[in-house]
Amino acid sequence: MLRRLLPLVAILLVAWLLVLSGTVIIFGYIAQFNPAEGAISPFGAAVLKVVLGALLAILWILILYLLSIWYVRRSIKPTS
Amino acid sequence: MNLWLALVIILVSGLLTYLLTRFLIKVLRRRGWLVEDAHKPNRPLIPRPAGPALIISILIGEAILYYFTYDVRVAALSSALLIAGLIGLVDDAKRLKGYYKPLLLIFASLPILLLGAYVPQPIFPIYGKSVRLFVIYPLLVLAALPVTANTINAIDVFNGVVSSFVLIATIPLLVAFTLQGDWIMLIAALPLLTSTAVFYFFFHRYPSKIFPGDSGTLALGALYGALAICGRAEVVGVVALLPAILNSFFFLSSVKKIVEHREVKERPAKILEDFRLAASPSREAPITLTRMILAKGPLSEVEVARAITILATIAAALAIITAFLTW
Repeated sequence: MLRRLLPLVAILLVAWLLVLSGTVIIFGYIAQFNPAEGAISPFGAAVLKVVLGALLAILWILILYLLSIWYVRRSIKPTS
Repeated sequence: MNLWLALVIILVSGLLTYLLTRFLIKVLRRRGWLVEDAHKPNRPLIPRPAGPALIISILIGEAILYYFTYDVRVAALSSALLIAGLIGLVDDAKRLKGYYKPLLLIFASLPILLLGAYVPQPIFPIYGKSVRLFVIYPLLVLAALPVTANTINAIDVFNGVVSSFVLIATIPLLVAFTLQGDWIMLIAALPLLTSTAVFYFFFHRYPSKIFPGDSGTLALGALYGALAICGRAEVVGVVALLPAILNSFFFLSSVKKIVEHREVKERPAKILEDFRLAASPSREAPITLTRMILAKGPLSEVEVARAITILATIAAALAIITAFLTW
């Protein structure tokens, strides 16, 4: 049973690392980012934070999606 | 005092769960509120839902805690549980469409916001500092309970799975509350633990004598989310729920729309003649945790349930590590 679950445990570990790194990067660094005065307008900084956060979230989702697709396609022989 | 209060709450909510579930099994059988257990020979009819027994037992446990503490967070938890449970009851009686449930469950998040039972400064693991999120946090609260409630609801696929999953996932929350020294939230989590653990699991384990129904799963999931938010253990809660969250994520990303599991044309697993389960080979079938577990060959219902429990235990261990990385 444990051998069968190993790939799923690996996906779980990847998801965990993505949660840890994602939350720390998005909320700890991107959300707290304050550019030097005059370098960028406050509105521009807010837009930049949203775009960077969204890009990271999309990357997070994409990695997990590709992992799940790869695992299912590799393990199950499709009929149609 | 705290220890006595915890013991009283464990006993009251635990015993009430046991007695009310027994009572409900008889009442539901008499009234014909039965559903087929599709994974067993002869498809036996099983009473459903056990949700009212769980909701009442947990609510009374929380009411005792509120009487002694007057902590607004306990009131918010109870309200979230009740609202999600009522939505689940409507769903049990009259099937709600796929996207209605998440929308309606936003109402379960409202008590947390209206009672101010949250701190918009979550503490993140490794980073270690609280982060001020005064605008985003309330929006995340609104989204959080529909997510936790629906993910717990979606993991309710086999006998004993949802009750053991909630039991295992609650342990990291207890560790997080202990590390924070938040004894009120620690005791507030106990009714969820005791009700789902020994006392409800006794009826729900294989072969199930009663199913929780949407009222049970949505109420447990909403309470879980509320505990994580009010107890400032958001990331710990997310990590502990990862197998259930991934299950919903895989499902939604493969189906590409919000639909009820029963509305999906191609089932993720099929039942063989010997009543073992096998992964559907169809490309049209949604990807779920069950289908991924079955990808390497057929298993019995008990074996799939055991696999989900193992994954829940690993996620709980990761959540406990996360708690130690945070405080």
